[in-house]
Formats: sequence, structure tokens, C-alpha cells
Amino acid sequence: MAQPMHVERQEAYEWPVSVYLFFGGFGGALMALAFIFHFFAATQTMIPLTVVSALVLFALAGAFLVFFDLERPINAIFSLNNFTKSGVSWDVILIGLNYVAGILFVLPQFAYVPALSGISQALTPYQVFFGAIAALAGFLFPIISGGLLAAPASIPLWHTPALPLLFLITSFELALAFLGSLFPVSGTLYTVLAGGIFALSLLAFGISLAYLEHTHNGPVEATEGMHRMLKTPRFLLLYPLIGLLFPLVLSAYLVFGGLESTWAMPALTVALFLGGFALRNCLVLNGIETYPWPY
Amino acid sequence: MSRYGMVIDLRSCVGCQACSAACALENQTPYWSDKWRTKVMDIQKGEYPSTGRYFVPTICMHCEEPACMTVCPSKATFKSDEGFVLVNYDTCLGCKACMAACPYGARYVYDKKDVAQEKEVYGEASQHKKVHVDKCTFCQDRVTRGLEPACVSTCPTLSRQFGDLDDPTSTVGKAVSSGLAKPLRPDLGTKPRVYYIY
Repeated sequence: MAQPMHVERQEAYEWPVSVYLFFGGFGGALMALAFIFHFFAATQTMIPLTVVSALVLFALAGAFLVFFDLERPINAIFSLNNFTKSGVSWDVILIGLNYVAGILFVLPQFAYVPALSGISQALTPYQVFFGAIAALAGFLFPIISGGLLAAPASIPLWHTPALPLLFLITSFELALAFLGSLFPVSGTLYTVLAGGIFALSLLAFGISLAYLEHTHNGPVEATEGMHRMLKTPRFLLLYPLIGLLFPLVLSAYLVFGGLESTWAMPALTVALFLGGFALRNCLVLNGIETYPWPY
Repeated sequence: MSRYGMVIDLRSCVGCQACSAACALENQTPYWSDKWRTKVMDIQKGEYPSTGRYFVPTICMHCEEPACMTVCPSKATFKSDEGFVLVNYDTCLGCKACMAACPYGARYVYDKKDVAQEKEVYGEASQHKKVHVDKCTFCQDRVTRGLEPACVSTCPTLSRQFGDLDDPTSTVGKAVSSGLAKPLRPDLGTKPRVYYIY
């Protein structure tokens, strides 16, 4: 039987990788935002809750990296052997850094707890230092994990710098909307928050167009992969419509229309959550590779 | 030190799959799951009356700049002294980053089912006792004993040739230096050591 083997779906990564990319990026963005909010308008509970949310998301990302994807989870202890070159090694380092620096960053917030007051006071002079490390690790996570897909040239659908950038922007977009839902604000702060989401939505829109251009004019595997994605109703509905256009339009309305609504931030969070996950999931599942046959 | 490589002549390959069978027996690859270190693709092209049928044996290219080695977080993928790209079964995580990075589709997972089945088939003589990502080794154990890889020695049409690419008197050296044999996707910069004549 003739086998149409010129175009094949990649067999390496399955859905757990997309969950890992999604939760890790979301957690990283939250961690970076927690550091920024430390300097501006942070309430007593805001930093601890944001950092704890980020760490929970990193725990989920780590679980999906290790237990749902690795064939031999116990061998994760060897994952730092190639930290100079391997993206997986760097992801493990960044998750670890987020835990260590994130906890040291947030501990001074618990000075009012008698059992923690001593250590909190000792860490207070270094809070900004640890916060900066956690924020940097959080910021880098979506880029490095996106690079995990984008670096190898073997799968052209992923092989573009637009992909890590898109993961970074959509992660921060979602994190902003999530924080807006968790800590409702009003007045100027609300406009600033909505403005941030609008700016990121606009960036995500632009990068998505650049990515579409890459798949349209790029290698045949990239075009084929995008065709398969565009034939998936789940992707079409959840990313371009719900995850990209809806937040862009709604945030524009919040900024320029002067609307201040209690439902807008939760609605944006849900839309960006669904869209962000659909983007990563469909990208992972539709990675196309070819064996370079001479015929 | 020899720079070992392989030349595959697609003009004379008849698609008998003897290479796949020899490799599976030599290296206990999981043929029961249709996973092979080397397999022969049967490609039919065109429409009647202008049709063509081509056999393309596939195998790990043992690249000089292997993409799979760079991405491996545990350095389980490494290069031997002979320049063969190998996998350390003990430290392989099974993260499959190497599978995604390999542009030649040369790797597969030797999973739990395969390990169990192998034990059933080969008993105590089984070679793959742990789950890992598996690939061609250029039959390193045979080559170090002065033998050719199993796929080469079994090929009835001599389509596969193995030897020192730097030796101008060897069959592979002549084929490569003359430009007759070409690597696949040289643009990727992986510098494959398997060349094709077509």
C-alpha cells in the first residue's frame, strides 16, 4: 500500500504539554505582576494571594510536565544535566526559582503572624531582591516554554519567534484580567487595568496576524498545520473569536467607552482562559512534520 | 578515528524490508507495535499512466550536529567516541523533546507495553529493560567488533553501504566525495552521516 507519508502529525507532544504551557505561562505572568503591584496600590492580601495563585498554577504545570507527560517521572532528577542548552532544563529551573524566590518574596507580608514574624523581619530588607528574581523567572517562563516548541526547525508550524511572544502576551493578558476579577478596583485604577488588557490584546492581535503570515507563506508543513487548525471549530470559536476579538473589543469599550462594570473582568478572564488554552492545545496537537523524502 | 557513515542507494532498493527485520532481531525493536529503528517507506506517486513507485529506507542520520542532543535535558542523548548518536536508557526522562526536535522522524518511545512484550518474547535476554526513547545505534556493538550494522550486512541488493566517510578508497567515501550521494535537508545544519543516492 502506498503511504502518504510526506506530511505527518508530530507524535512527540500531546495535550498535557499544552496544559503545562498554559498553566506555567499564566503562573509566570501572575508572579511578575505580583512584583509590579508590590510597588503600586497593593493591599494587604493582594501580594500573598497573587503569589499563592501563581505557585498553585506552577504546581499544576509541574505536575503536567512530570506525571502526565514524562515516560519516566522519577528520572526528572536528571533534568538539570543539560541546563546550558535544553529548554526543558530551563523550565525546571524557572519553576524552582519561582518557588524559592516567590516564597521568600511573600514571607515579609506575613509579619503579623506571630510564628512568622522573626523570619519575616529578617527577609524584609531583601523582599525587592527576591521579588525581582521571582518576577524575572515568571516573565521568562512563557518565553522559554514557548521556545521549547519554537526552537527546533523540525516542526515549521512552531518554528517562529512569534510563538513565544504570543504565549507571553496572552499569559499577561489573562493574568491581568484574573487579578481584575480577584481584586475589583474602580476609577482610574480600573481604566488603567482595562487599558493594560487593551494594549496587550492589540499586541496579541498583531502577533497573531504575523503568525498567520508565517504559516501562510512559510513551509508547506506550517501551512498544512494552520489549515488543520482552522478546520477545527473548537479552535476557531475559542481563540480568534472568544480569546482574541472579544477581549479586544470589550477592553476597547471599557477604555474608550468609559464603561465600568463588575462583570467585565470576570468575562474577560473566562474568555482569555478559554482562548489561551485553545491556542496552545490546538498548536500542540496540529504540529506537522515531514520526513524529507527525496521523492 | 574513523568517521562512520552510511550511503543508501535508492535506485537499487527493492523494498524487501530485510533491513527492518534484521534490525528488529538484532536490536529487539518493538515490531509488535510497528515501531522500527529503520523502515522502508513505500511511496507511490503520480497517476496512471505516469506513475512511479519508490522505496525509501529511513534511519537515524547520526548527525554531527544532532538537534536531539541539544534539547535533551538529561544528556541521555550523547555521542559515542565513534560519533554515533546514542541514548542512555538509565537517564532518559522520556520527555520526547528529542522526538520533536529530530527532523528525520528517527525516534520512538519504547513504552511500558513494549518493555513487557519484549520480556515475554526474549525473556532474560531482553535488551530494553526500561522505558526510554529509542533509536538506531548504527549497531555500535557490531561495529566495534569489526562487523557491519545488521541492516547493511543483510541487504540483498547492497543498497546500503557502511564505512569511513573520510576514507577516499571506501565505497561510502567515494560516493560522498563524488557528490553522487547527498544528505537530506542539509539546510538544517545537522550534518547527517547518512547519505542517499537517488
